[in-house]
Amino acid sequence: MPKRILIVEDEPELRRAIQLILDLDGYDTLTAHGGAECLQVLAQQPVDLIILDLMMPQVDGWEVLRQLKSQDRADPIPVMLLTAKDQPIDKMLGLKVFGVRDYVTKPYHKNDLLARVAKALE
Amino acid sequence: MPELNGFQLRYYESVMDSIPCGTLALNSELVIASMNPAAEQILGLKMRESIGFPLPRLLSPLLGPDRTQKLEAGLKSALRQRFVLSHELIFPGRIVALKASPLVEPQQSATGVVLVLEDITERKRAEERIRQQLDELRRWHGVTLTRETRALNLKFEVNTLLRRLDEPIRYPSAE
Repeated sequence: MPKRILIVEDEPELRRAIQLILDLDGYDTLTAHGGAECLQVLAQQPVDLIILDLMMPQVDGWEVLRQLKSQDRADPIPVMLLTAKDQPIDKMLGLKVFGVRDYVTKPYHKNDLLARVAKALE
Repeated sequence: MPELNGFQLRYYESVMDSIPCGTLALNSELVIASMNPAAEQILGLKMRESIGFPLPRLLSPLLGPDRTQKLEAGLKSALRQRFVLSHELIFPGRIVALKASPLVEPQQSATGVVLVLEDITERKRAEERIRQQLDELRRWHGVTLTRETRALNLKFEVNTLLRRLDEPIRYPSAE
């Protein structure tokens, strides 16, 4: 059974591009255009990985991470951040404070993204 | 950015933990990335419940919306325009001096803000006591001076009257 990945990205073209890359590699993908929709999707169906943008209007990626952390699940959903924010302080926040699996900065290479998705799903 | 090994990380953490002033690092959205125990104590916030949250959101119940907005605007200006912001946080029964400087990483623009906090409640109280004592001293000084002036005027008047009577003056010091 293919792994299900939720792509959370407010830019429609970027969202579609990521979805296409993952679909072609055999993943089952879901999409959300913002943090609020992401949380709604997660409340309805399980996913194996969330690919999350940070800078989004209204409910941003940090808020999604806070919400996920507050759920304090025994089996937290793995998150990969995919963002234009390349500052060390943000990487520190994502990786150390929120414990995300990976932090990928845009622009990304297709093969690199697929390799890191596969690793995050291990 | 070179990776820190466990030993280096523990070393820097112990340095941060030993600083008696509160120190916090915030990212460009003012989300707390790290804080030391002194900051925890000065702000009255638990570290576990604060890291990962925007500082203005945590301080709003303590400072009120207006002061929080002012702080947020100040921090964002310090970040954008790269200057050191000095500010006083007025909590119920406590005053905290805050200095915020932009966190500038090599070859990059400012990526966050570093805050240094100091509880100055006792210092402010001492300053207030000194100010009250100084006011009291000034008041007494004024009263004494008025009395002296009045006495001097009376002496001068007595001298004037004696002079009219062609008698020697009694208070040469008042001349």
